[in-house]
Amino acid sequence: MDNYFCKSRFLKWISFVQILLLILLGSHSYAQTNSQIKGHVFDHKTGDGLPGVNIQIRGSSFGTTSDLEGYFLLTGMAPGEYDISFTMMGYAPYVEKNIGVAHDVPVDLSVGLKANVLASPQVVVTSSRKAQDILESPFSVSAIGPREIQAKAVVNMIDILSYESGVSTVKGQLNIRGTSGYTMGAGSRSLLLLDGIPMLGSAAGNVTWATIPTSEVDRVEIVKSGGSALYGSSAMGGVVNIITRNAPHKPETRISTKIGVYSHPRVDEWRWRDSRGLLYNTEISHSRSIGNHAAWIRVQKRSDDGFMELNWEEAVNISAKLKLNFGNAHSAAFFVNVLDDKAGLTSIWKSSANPFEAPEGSSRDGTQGRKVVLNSHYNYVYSPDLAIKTKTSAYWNEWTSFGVDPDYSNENRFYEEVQASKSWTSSLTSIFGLTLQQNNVNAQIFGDHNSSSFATFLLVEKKLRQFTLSAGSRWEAYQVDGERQDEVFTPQLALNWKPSPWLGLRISTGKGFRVPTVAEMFTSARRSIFTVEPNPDLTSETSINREFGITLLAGQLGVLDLFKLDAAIFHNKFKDFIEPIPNSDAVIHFTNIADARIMGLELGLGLSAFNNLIDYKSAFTILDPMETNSEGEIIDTLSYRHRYHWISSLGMHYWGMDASIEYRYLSRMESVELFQENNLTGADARVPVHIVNAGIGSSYQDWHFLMRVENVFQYYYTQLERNIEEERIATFTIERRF
Amino acid sequence: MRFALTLIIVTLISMTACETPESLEAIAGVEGAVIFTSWSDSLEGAVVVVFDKDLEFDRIDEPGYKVIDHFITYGDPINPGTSNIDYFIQLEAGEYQLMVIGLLLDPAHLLADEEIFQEIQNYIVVPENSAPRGIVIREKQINEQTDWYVQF
Repeated sequence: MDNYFCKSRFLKWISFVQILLLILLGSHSYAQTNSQIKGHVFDHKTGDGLPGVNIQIRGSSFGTTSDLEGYFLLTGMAPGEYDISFTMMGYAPYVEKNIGVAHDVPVDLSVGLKANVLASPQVVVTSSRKAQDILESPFSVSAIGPREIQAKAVVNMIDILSYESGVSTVKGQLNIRGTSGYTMGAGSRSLLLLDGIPMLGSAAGNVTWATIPTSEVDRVEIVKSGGSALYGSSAMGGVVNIITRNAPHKPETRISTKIGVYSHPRVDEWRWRDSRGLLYNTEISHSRSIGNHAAWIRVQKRSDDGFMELNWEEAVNISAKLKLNFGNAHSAAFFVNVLDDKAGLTSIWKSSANPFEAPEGSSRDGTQGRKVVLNSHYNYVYSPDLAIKTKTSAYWNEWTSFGVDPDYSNENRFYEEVQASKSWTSSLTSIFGLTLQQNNVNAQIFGDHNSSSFATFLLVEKKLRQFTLSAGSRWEAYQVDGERQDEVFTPQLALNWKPSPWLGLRISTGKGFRVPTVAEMFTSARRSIFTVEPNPDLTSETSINREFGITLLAGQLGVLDLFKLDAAIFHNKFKDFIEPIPNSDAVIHFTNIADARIMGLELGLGLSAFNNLIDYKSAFTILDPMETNSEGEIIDTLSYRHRYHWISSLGMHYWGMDASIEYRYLSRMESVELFQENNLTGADARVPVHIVNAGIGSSYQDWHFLMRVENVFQYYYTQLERNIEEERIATFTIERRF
Repeated sequence: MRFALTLIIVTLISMTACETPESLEAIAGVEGAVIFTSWSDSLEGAVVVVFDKDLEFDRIDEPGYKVIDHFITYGDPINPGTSNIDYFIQLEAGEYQLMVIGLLLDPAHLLADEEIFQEIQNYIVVPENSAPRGIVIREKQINEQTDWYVQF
């Protein structure tokens, strides 16, 4: 076999891991005792049992969830003293401390959880690959809960992410703290995970947002510091982990229809169609338990005329998740998503006089394709202090384009990960894992290529009173077309100080890296005025990330039901930064520019007041994104970054109605690559972004209604040159659950 | 606490208010079509060029001669006698001179660096039937009457 991972080094690693696992597994044995903790979790106010509460022995991977009536049972732990945490969305977390467990003596607990309006979960899993109090996270993390997702009834997850602190998007490309800019969809510096599994495309390293079943998402976690030490390439600018829900025990069917109407352009001269564009999105889902197991399936049909001529889309998406529970020790989950879509395709407007129309002769351009995602998880809790997780993923993508530039692409990706979490003492834990990824692509614009990577990572966390020290590292090797491309070692070190239950401070430094994608190395294409040529000599880019942050989270302060303040300063220095740069012939090559650095400040505020009557969220980010030479001297401003970013939202909840208004501000882009502003004519003007959205919703029995208007004031702007952005759209969503 | 919140909110509002919303609005300019009736093999492309109203025609091939803007007629290959290429150039209200110019080098050079236009004027060819044409652009209006029949 010509794959070098199959040669001696890989086998040595596998052997090493197997031996390590055998030693670890041999040191403990699960279910040796008849000790048990049982109990009931209920709503503190109503007394109703709470199903699906996450119950976990702190400092271990050992836990369970409450049943339909709120009852739970934990068995098999060794005699000793434990702290047990109870967490659930929409409720304040609770810890029952110093529970003594003896052999053959069951412990009975009764726990009442208090409702909390905080939409975002206080327990996150992404920043340290394990469940962790957000105040103890070593990195900046923000989380979006299901309530916030449902309140906007978005079809595409990126529409939610755009309203998070420090997160912006340019033509669907995710930017966390400005790391990605715009790279023509190739080579994201922010890693997207779905239930912890990488979801970037195998050729361009891009994100296909339509494969995310937004309405089935339980929560989203955004790690804003470099995460390469745990997650590898593409995580150098942060990680977005989208976590899908597990089916509730109670059978439930949900039917939802969203109808949207685009406005005609506010400028009469820009009007380009006789009737208004429409959007339809219909979803049917069903979830139920099957014995101890649970499953949901969702079918989505979407038809969108789009706000401009080639922005239309038609898609059918089927996704399903099966969660298997085999007692306390074993569980598994399977996720499948099949997307069949067809969409218009354009790279530029017709002209600034007709910004919503496609260039002459390209009005029939588009793509059609099919994507299949298969993810599986298997968790084995060997003992209260040792858990093994495996993740397997397969991804197929085939598409063709039609119109003036026919093209095709066939991609597939296979991913495998094994992770062992071990608690050595109540204050010392470690996580060790291996990943293997294989990509194949055959496309007209890239050619026929394959790439693969192999990585091993280790994270050790030590608690010393109020301090948590974590050290981690990852070693990763890549090959492209059978030749070794690179080998990278990325360490990280972080310290968290939690001096009180409501305050956490963090400081971290780490190395990040990203290997160039097949698209960046081999793209050869001309579309409209853009010509891209290959650069197979591209090398990996690396970064040194530093961050200091503080989070304050408190409840019941006068009229405030909740108060959350987060601040962070960060400095990311990049070496051999990869950017698409046009040469003197306007031919674009992905090029290792000398160096770059992005530093900045982020402030976030969230509060809820007057017995949950109003909630307010605001976040402000300042970036200083500069290209530098190897001595650190500034050369230029990095393109496609907004220096200032402010999001703000106000919600009111009264008489069963929920009203909200959101505002998003992005300062004018200071630098772009292709079309500069012409001061003599006003052409290619770049303006700041001011977008206001508003919505009002209500629930009545099993029905839920929501009316929203996006871009209320029809504010027009461009981010990528000669591409106008969002038109106003009014949507009405009606949903029934039964 | 109340003071801190007020301060934060006022600061943010003030900061963004300083940058008055400048939504893209209706613009003015000139649009039409360039119809190539003949084409020289030595040409790499053609450009619709906007000059100041006081154009000195004899000096347009001098390096550094002022150009207001230009539109590159992308579209390859250009078929002599059959190619029609639509163009649009955004302009402020005012008076201008327009003409079509042939290029002896790849027009992509202009895309890469618009300033380079000053340097490449040694590489231009003025077609015989493309005398400069004066146009008037009014506020937020598109001049739609400017087609060109070009013979290189």
